[in-house]
This record gives sequence, C-alpha cells and structure tokens, in this order.
Amino acid sequence: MDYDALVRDFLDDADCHLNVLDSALISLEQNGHDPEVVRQTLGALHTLKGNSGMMGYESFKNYIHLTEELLKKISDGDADRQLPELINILGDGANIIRNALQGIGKDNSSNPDLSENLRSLRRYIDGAEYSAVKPAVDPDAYLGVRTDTIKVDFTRLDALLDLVGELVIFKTRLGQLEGRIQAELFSKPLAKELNESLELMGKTVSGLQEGIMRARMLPVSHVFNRFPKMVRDIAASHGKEIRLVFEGEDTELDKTVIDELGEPLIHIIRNAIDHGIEAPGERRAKGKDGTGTLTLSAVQESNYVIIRVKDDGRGINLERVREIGISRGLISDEDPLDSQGASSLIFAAGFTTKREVDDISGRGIGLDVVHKKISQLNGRVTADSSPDRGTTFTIKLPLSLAIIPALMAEAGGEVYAIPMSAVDENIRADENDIHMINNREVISFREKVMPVIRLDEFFGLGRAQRKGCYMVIIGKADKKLAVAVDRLRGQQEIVIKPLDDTFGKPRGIAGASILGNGRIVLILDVMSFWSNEAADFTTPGLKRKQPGAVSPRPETGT
Amino acid sequence: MLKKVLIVDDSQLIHSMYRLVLGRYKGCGISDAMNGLEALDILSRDSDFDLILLDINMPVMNGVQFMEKLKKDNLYRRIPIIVISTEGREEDTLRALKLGAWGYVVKPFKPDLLYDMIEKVAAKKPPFLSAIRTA
Repeated sequence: MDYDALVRDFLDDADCHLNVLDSALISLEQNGHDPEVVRQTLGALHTLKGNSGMMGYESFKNYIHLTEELLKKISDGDADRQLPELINILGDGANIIRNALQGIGKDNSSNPDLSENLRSLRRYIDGAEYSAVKPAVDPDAYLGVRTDTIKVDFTRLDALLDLVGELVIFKTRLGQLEGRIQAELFSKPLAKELNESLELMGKTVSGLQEGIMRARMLPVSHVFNRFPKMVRDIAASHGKEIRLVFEGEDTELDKTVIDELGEPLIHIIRNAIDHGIEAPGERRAKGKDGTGTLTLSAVQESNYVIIRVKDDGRGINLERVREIGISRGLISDEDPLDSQGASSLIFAAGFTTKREVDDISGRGIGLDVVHKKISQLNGRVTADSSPDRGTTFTIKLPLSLAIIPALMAEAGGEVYAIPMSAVDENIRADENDIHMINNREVISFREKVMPVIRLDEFFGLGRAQRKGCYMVIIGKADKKLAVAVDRLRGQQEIVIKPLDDTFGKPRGIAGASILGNGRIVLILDVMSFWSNEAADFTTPGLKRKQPGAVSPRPETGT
Repeated sequence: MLKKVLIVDDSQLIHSMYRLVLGRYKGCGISDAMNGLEALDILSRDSDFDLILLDINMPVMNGVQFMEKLKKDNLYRRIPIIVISTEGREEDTLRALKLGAWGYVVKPFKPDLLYDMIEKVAAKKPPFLSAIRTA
C-alpha cells in the first residue's frame, strides 16, 4: 500500500470517529449526561489517538489525548464546571480536530501543529479559564474528507456475484445458441453481426465478473495483522525469541476466504512456535541466530493464492512423529516413515506431538483442523521440512469461493465437475493399467502406486464395460488418488451453488453448478474420497494384530 | 474360467492353503514350484497357465528375479501374476507392478481376499491367454 492510500484510509477512519464525537456532544446537550454515550465516544477518540500516533501526527495525537481527558471530566464530574460549558469547549475541540484533518486532506505530507491549542486546553483542564480563540469552522470540513472508499454491506456484493454467476451461465448458453444459428444462416451478414455482438457482450460480462470479484477482495494483511501480538505473547510465554516477517501482505483474496483463513493460520503459527523454533540457547548451540524467524508470505499464482508459513526451527522430528503415529494407531510399528510420510501424518485426525496438553497447540486438534478447513475452502495444505533448517507450510487457495475453474468429466452418463485446485494431471488409461493390491484397484504412475476410484461405481451408477478411460490424478498433500472417468470435457469456470439441505449431505458431492446448456452438474468433494475406504489400499493395516481388518489410515479420519 | 494355476512359494503350508482357495474352481489344474527356478522349469515345458501365484522371498531364485526372467519372454509375459508377499511397502508393490505383476496381496490376508482377486482375473477376458495362443 502506498503512502497516499494509507493517509486516505486514516482520514476516512478519522472522519468516522470524529462523527461519533460530534453526535455525542449533541446527545449530551439535549439529553444530559449518559455514561454509555461518553464511554463509546472515549473508545472512538482512543482509536483515533492510536491511529494518529501511528501516522506520526504527534501534536494532533496529544490534542486528542487532552480531549479524552476533558471528556472524562463529564463522566467523573467536575465540581467547578457545568456540563454545558464542558460541551462547548469539547465542541471547539472537535472543530479544531476537524480543521486539522482537513489540512491533512489538502496536503497529505503536512503534519498539523496544534501546540497553541494544546497549551490552552491543558491550562483549562488544570483549572484555568478557557481563553483560546474560537476556531473558525470551515463548513466544507463538515463534508468530511473526500475519499474513494465507501462501505458496502457484504451481502449486497454477494447478491451481485450471484447475478453475475447467472449471467456467465446465460452467456455460455447464448454462445451455444449462436453456434446453431450460424449453422442455419451460414454466413449471412445477420449471423456475423450476432457473432460480433455476442463477442462484445462476452468481454463485458467477463469484465463485470472480474470487477465484482475484485470488489469482494481484501488484502491478506487483514489476517496477517492479527498475528504480531499473538506471536510475541506466545513466544514470550515459551521463552523463545521470534522475529515475524511478512511478505506479499498486499496480495488479495475474496473476503469469504480471508474470513476463514485466520483459524488455520493460527494453528500453523502456534505449531511453529511450539514445536518448530527452538529456545535461544539451543539455537545458538546449533550455530543459529538466537532469534528465530517466522515468515508469513502470500503470492498470487494465476487463479490461486499461495500462502506460506516458514520457520527456521528444528524441522519435523521424524522419530517423534513415528512414535506418536504408532501410539495413536495411525501407522503400524513395522512401517518405515520418511519425511514425506511424516508431512502427511501430522495432518491426521488426533495427531499431536505434544507430550502434555497445554493451552497453545497441544489439544490433539490442530493440524487436522487446518487440513479440514483448507479443504473446505477448496484449497490444499502441505508441509515441507528438513532437520534443523525448518518447516514450511504451504497453503494453496482459489481466489474465490464462488467461481472456480473445474475439470468437467463424464462417468456413467453423468457430467461431474472436479475443482482444478485438486487436479494434478490427467492420463489416458485402459483396463490393463489397473492393478490390484489387496483387492483394491490401483494404478502405478510416476513412481507412485495410487488407489483408483471409479466414479460411476462410487455414485452407484454401475460399472461401464469399456476399453479406454481417463484417470484424473488428484492430490492431497503428497497422497494421490486416481479418479477413473469415461471422458474428459475440458476445463470451465463454474459457479458453485450449494446444495439445498433437503438433499442431506450426499457423499462425495460439494455442490452443484449450472452449465450453459442448462444442464446441472454435480461438483465433486474430492477430499471426501480419502475418507472412503476404497482409497485405503495401503498395506500396513493387514499387518496388524487382526489380519484382514482394514485399519484407519492417517488420511481416512479426516 | 480358471483352468490352470501355478503356485510358486517356498512354504508347503502356503501351497495347501492356496489349493484350498482354488478348490472352488472345479477341474482347475494346479502345479507347484518351491522357488522361481522350479517355476521357470515348469513353464518351459508347459506355458499354458491362466494365473501364477508368486511369493517374493524364496531361496535359489526369488520372485523378483523370476519376474525379471519372465518379463523378457513374450510367451510368458501375458500370464497374470498375483504377488503374495509379506513385504508391503509402496516401493515393493511398485517394483512388482513394474515387473508385470497384475495384483499384489500382503500376507497375512483373509482367504476371501485372495479368492476375490482370483475371481477378477478369471473374469478378465484375454488379452492374457489369447495373446499367448496366437503368439
């Protein structure tokens, strides 16, 4: 954010607080003393004071401080002064503040000097007569500071986005109609005109869609800014020294995503402080800087925003993760565990490495909540770690929750939409590529064995007899799964419509969308495939004490 | 329909158990080999098998070496192999699938599991056998 924008935001905000003071004075004058009104006004002034200090308006800040003191006299009662007199002087004060703000609005490099007013107000508070010249009020100042920002109820933006969603659908539909009309009219001029108009309309609709999506966006700093104090407090209570660094905090995301992002980030950050970054002594013994660094970064990559939480701590303790995994029954004691496996195990339900429960991150919930939350946002979270160099959590989120790119796939005569955020790649396969491990269908691809989910079977549509099919490889952390479909119908932007409650919560379905031809497609909830036991082809379950029993794998609990 | 199966395992007990499972296929011929080399010997005399049930850890010639040999020969390559082994890590399964195994079962297992897998092979139309016969 540049400085001009910052000043604009400050003025915008200050104007609101000042309006609180103005209406409070009017209310006090008309209705007499009301502690609630005074309390609210003190709150507004306090915020304004803080903001002014942050902006470096020292004299301005001090003046607001005195105004606060004066206002307190109303609630505390002042034997020598009558309420009307106090209100009058506070009214003058409000005008002085307003004029100062207007001055900043005219020249945003100016720093109002209120030392004269400060002195007279100080003297008055200390008991002298009020002797200052009445401030001249510029009526223009009451117009408020002219800014480019307005506050809009978010539900209105939601409604607009809904309408745009419909518009996108109609656009596709018109496009298809046009194709048919073209075929009938051949290349008559009328058909050409239709084509041109539709193309122009298409551009406008795209622009409108983009504009409304952008209007709903907020910078990730909205979430990031909650953390410095939290990090400082937790670090202090753990005897750790931590430097918190932000990168790319101007990156913007849809407000609905921003709103949901705080909770998972808190868990990851707590985890990094709790488990990752070592105490200063331990760090120095390792030849590291005693102060650990925690970096929160955000960057936009095409239709996604990548958020990383990186610490330079000790990394994920493989042995410890393995031990816990075994004690929680998530893996068997014969299973080897590499860093990749550990990185996905820590997201399993009920997994925690903390020996005793504490108030920070050891409640046995944590990273599994992170995983769940991010999945709900159609995103993905992975962890990367190396010993003594630290751990990086990477969260990949779609820019918007409402309109997402999806791969359209056909299975059992139905068309399904698979969110692109989950799709790694597509491959052509035939029945002979499908192998069996422990009676589960798998394919091997790029040095990985992954379970196959036949979409038609999954939805109870029977299994088609076919030679060739397509496998859509979907990934979660480093676990992969192949979804077998009959045909692929390309990628498309779809508008997510949540399913009505009357449908209950159908397995594997995240919502529905309407295509240009009016056809309704179901959007796959790919994350739920991992909780399907068909995804559990891995073998250790069979090594358990009860042979043949299917064991809950780390991924199945989520 | 399953007509001829080759069991390759160094444990006599396992042979008996597989025979029990295969007993459901009336008239199915079963040949026994105690290691990969014996199995190759049997195959060199008669390659017309519908299925090979193969262990990995065996003396003389283990299952991996056996599959490597088999893979080189067009005559055998099309016989479906189900590997049945105690080794169940991803790299074990991956290696077996790459060497041409069709299925993989980790020991210990319930007999029904093996039966289900054999059913799937039996239901599978050639490529397997037709290719061999026309070869």
